[in-house]
Amino acid sequence: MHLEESFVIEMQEKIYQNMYHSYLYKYIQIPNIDANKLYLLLSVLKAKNLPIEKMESIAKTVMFIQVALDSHDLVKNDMDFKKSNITTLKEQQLTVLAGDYYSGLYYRTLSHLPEINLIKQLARAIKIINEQKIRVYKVEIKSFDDYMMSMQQIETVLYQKLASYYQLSDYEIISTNWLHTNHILKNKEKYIGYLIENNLIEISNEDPKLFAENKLNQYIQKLNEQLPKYIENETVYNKFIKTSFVKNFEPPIVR
Amino acid sequence: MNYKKVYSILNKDLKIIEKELENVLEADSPILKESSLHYLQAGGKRIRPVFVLLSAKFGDYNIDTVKDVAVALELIHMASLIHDDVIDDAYTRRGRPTVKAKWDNKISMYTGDFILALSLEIITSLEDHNAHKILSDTIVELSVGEIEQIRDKYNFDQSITNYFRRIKRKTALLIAASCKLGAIAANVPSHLQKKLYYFGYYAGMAFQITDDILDFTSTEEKLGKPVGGDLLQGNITLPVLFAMKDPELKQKISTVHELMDPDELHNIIQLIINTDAIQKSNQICTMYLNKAYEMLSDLPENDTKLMLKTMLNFIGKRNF
Repeated sequence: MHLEESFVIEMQEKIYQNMYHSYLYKYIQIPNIDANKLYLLLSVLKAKNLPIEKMESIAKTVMFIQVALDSHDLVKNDMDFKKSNITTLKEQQLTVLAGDYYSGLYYRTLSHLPEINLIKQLARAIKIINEQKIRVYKVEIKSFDDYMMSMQQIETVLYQKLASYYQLSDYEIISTNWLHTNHILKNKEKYIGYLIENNLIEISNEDPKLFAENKLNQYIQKLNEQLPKYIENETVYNKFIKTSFVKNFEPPIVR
Repeated sequence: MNYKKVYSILNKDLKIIEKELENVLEADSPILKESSLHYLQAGGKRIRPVFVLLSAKFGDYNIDTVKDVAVALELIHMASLIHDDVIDDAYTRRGRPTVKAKWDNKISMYTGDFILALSLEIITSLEDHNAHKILSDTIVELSVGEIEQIRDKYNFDQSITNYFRRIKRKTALLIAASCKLGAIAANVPSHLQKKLYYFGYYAGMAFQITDDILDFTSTEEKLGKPVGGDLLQGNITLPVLFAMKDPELKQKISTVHELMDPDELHNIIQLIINTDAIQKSNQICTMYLNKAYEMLSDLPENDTKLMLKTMLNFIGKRNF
């Protein structure tokens, strides 16, 4: 379960190498491989005691999916970029194709292992993520809880499905709570903006921003209160809560 | 027999596939549901499902098993069209607004990703590992082919080999995979699976060359996009490569750019049509069709083989 930071970084490098495509790298911005997500992913795979080669292949696969999804998030709508600028247009076209290419790498890696059932589980996660992205983007969201559920799925369902595939139910909860907490903390302003803009919180006389922030803090607290139940070992718990490669990460709750 | 007869013989099973496509494109999000059904409702030739079904008929044909393969292959194609329309900045397809036109690029990305994932979920009902290796390699090659298409845009010095490699990745491999996977799903003997794979590959090459010829010889009404649209977008296809054998014409063609005046482009298209480029492209297309015919020689003589031959005739002679 204990993972050295150097191992995570080494893995990150290997994934970048596997994703390498000279033409794509020349023109487009390659999304970062989120070290927090990779850390969690490797923890799940390590808990299952998988052989190192298999562990690496599966970690790569899940990260290919993540990068594919992240790449497509970078695609802009017409009004957001100047069509006359050919470089920008090319960048946009290649960003679409990069995402498709990384999706292909996910399927190819698992087909060659072969891990056919895992292809199915991860495909289901991708479906959920894209559906929730549309719900959030087009505001098919009805309430605060609805929004938090959608965001949670977008951020965590890929890792939940992996943990579920390996029958590590504790890790399903850890994936959900830990990753979502990280995401909220990193993007608090965006969450607050969305909640206010789309009237998803009842605002009384209070400062709406402060009200939304409090609501988010309560939500985070709830998520974190559940964590110790699933992480038996205190050292491991502290590692999870305290480890973050996200800059300025400050866990809201310290046990 | 003509291609309409093939479609009418397969009609019952194609209807099952059509119904299944409609059923699987289900989503809780109303927008996703509408956007993912958008291209299905626009119809299409359903070439990939047809080849899946016909290949499967050489084995233990069971529509319940084969339909998953046909549905998955059509969905992969559909997902790629949705993303292609963002890449090509296309506002109409088959005379209807594209997903990007009706909604926007973001919805196109999410819908395409959703449909691709759905296709993978469905195809995993096929347990044969080899089938997944072939299909996954094809999907990677498909995106590499598209990346190369962007790289080669407005490159008027590219070789014919380059073009063949690109259309192989872009079109032929997915049709080849359709034939092979249909055959695998129906337990067709492996030596015949191989023949069917190459049949699909050569048919796919001919299919794309025909498409590239039609870009010059068809009408805007039939194409659903302007004549010469590929050239305007910088896609250097076989007729253009042949036309550029004439240095003077090459110089003129090399002036094509995205914002070119339509009259100027029209003149260049006329000059290309007036050369023997279309004729030569047709000859190459026929060569691929003949290779596809050859692949059929080891297959048993039956109605299905006749239908495959009919589909080849359709590919060679189609005007839409």
